[in-house]
Amino acid sequence: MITNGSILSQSSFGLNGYWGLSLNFNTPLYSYESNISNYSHLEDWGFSFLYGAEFSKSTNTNIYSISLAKTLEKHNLSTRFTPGYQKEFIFNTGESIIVEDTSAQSLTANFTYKELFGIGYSYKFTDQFNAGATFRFFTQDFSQEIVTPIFEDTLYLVRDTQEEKINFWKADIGVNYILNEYLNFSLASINLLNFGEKAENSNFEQFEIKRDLAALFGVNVTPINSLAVNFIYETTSSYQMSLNGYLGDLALGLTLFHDKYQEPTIAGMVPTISYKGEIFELFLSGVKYFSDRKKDFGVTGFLENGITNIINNPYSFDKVLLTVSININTIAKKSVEFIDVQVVKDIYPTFTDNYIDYPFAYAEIVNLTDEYVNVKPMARIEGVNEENIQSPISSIAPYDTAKVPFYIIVPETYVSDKAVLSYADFYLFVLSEQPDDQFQKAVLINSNNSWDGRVSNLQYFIKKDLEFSINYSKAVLSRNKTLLDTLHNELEDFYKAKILFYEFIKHLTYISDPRASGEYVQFPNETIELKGGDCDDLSVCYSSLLESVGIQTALVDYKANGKVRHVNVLFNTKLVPGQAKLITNNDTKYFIRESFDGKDEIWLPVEVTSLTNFETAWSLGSEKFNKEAINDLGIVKGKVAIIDIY
Amino acid sequence: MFNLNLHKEMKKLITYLFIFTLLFLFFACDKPAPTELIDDSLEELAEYEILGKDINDEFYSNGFDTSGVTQNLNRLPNLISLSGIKVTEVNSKTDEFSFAQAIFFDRSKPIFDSNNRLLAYHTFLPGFVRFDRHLANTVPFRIWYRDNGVLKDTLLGGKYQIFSGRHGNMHQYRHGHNSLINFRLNFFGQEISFDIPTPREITGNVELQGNRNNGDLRAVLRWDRGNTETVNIIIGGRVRNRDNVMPLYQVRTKDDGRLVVPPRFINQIPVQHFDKIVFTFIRRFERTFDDANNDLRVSSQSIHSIVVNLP
Repeated sequence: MITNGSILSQSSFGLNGYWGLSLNFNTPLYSYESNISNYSHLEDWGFSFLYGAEFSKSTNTNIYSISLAKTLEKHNLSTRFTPGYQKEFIFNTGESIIVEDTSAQSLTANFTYKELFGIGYSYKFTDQFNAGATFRFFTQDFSQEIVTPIFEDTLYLVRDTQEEKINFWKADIGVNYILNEYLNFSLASINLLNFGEKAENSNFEQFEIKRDLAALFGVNVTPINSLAVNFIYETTSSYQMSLNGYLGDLALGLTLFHDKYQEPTIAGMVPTISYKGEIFELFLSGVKYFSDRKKDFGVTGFLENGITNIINNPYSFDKVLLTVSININTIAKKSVEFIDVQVVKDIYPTFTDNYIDYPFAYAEIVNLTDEYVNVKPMARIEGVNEENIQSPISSIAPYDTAKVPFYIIVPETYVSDKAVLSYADFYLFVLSEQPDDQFQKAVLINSNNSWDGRVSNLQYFIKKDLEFSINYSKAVLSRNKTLLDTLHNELEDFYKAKILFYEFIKHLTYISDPRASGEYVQFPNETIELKGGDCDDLSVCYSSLLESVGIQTALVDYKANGKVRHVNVLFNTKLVPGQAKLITNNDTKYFIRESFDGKDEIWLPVEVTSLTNFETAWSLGSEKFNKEAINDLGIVKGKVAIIDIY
Repeated sequence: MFNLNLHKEMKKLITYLFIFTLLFLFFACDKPAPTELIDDSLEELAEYEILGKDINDEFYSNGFDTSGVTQNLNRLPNLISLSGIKVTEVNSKTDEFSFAQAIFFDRSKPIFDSNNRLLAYHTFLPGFVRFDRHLANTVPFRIWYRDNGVLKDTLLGGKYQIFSGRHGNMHQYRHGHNSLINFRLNFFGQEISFDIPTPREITGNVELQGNRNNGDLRAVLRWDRGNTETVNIIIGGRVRNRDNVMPLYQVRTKDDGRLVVPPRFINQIPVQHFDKIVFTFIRRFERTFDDANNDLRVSSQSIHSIVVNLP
């Protein structure tokens, strides 16, 4: 009869030996035995296959485990199927029957312990701290022959079989702390939570895998890059020591283990040689026990002590194992990353083309690889762009840093009457459709009327509202069609400008910048509608009206130089210098500018803020231009600038 | 690390891995070798044998007698048997008696039933037999058997026997436990004499535990450990309302002083047929001489039968 048993479930013994957290290899991390916290440094998918041969009195081969793992950002999930994690015992129950021919037939028992599969989860709180749990499913098949007397007409004995299958789960948690590249620690529970079935047959109850609560502590020391020393201790008084050496892609490991249930003190060793390729990791390991495993074992020892571990116990045989691990990364490996991003311009929605020509931000980025990479920077401003706007591709030398510009497009349709603080998303693309890195930075988006004070940027206000100006100008010129029809063709632009000026100023009042809080420029329709504006608004409006009828204009920027900055308008009469007398005999009232095709043309300055009449505005404009731009050498000195609208 | 940017390539690789894995599962899998544990147990051992095949026939010829001889007579060799016997009744009263016998078969004279089944051989009396200088009586050796449903008896011949200590038989012969008993035979004028060792006295104890209705009625048997490897325990039923014990099973177990007879062996005994159970503990020395011309079994045993009510 079977009376006693003491069987403990898996502890820290792994078929690949003990490699600590194994920062160089993934394979040992598939062992839930020594990696209870499910620590992993996989970047995406991982697959592991452990196949081995066991040397009992015969040699047989088996798949020991198949594992799959997936990393999702800071989460790691893994699962493994362990068909080879099983141990079967066959023995006589101690009962036998004498049959007719007086021979004795012994009754046998068959106990099989299996770990079928497991699930692991871990979360990487920081690069230094990881915590996780593993859940493992065990099954125990108990089968025992018994003899039962049957009292019928004839008394006889029958052989019967008692069978019971008992399943249970066990869950454990663990944490890892990587102090630095030289030292890390592991702490984990053994048999923390157990849930499942209990034996109903009292004969088997005592043979269930014992699940006494325990803990293990591991420490891994890497004194030099090519050497690691690992130690793991269980409160069940078992421990393992291992030494791992790294030679490039090759690694050698030797693990010695002590199990209080096995003899001698160092019960065996697990030598390992491994290779790490670009895709595969190969581990060739062996388990060599220092006591004879091919001898006949008595049932007494099993009944008294049981086993302590399904794959590592006094009855385990020597093994040779080959592990293949495959790391599949469907997420592009990061080739470049941001160091910093600097937004150099606030966004003025009206300056649409400005951001195509000039970057609104610069990023400092670094090439993380040993190869040249072509980086495609892209950006998108929340609330402005619906899609990413690509900036020019930059090529960066291996491990070099570079400053890359980011351009943006502000859609014509964007409308905002007040400033908004939004943010811009910056992306770096290398090969894949997913960005290698991204960065976010706050961006101020001004209202449509906001202006940065650069006279050159007034052109955007002039162009943006051109449709209004066309309609307005056409209406005005239509009313003066009779006059215009009687004029020489050469004077058409001059008179158009003159007529438009009169009509323009008819209801206007000059108002010094009505938005005291900052630069604010009215679109032409707003100026007409509001019947007023400052020099910027009036110049923009008049320029826009002229441009709308094909009269070439320029803005004259009289820079502040300690005084109030001023803007007025130059327009092209298309008259050649010989025709000047058609409009004036005063040669200080016009200026010759060379056109794109090399032709000299007469331009007239107009002081738009002079809301009296065209001649006065022309005279004031000429006087100012003569004095500040020409006589005072303002253009030469850069104090006066002429900005062509087109 | 392997970079796969195209989902299609990843799917292809995973498909290959899946097929590879399945192939391995099908073609490369043995089962891990089981460990066959040899029987080195010094404790529990129980070898069960049916003795009474027809519990309705108390005359069924099973060869069992109170001397503990349980072999079929057709296979029984010439026999010298010494027994020290105790019987403890339900009321705990214990009777002791001694029994010695010698049987010699004439193999040239078999006895068959009408179906030509060998029942036994005729016996013969070659001379005088003494046990410790006590002259053995010669008594007829009769067996009962059923032949085509008809109870028959037949006389095999004579045998030598000394029986003392019960039913007023006050023969001077006493079975000495753990000692030597001298056997002497005048075999057709030739004196043959040798000493027969006897085992330690066995004293058993029976405790019934559990409940028949719960199906867990079992017998915890204890006895004083002795100087033999095994003891035989014969479990018999006393036929209701009759003073007739029918052996049911024999259990051979280690002479370690304890055996739990599982409920299945006790619960199954039909209470409507038997009202008591008799546990007979037998510690035996036995030696068989078997050569081409002759055979002889010499056995000596200490026997303790304990009668308990069948609940």
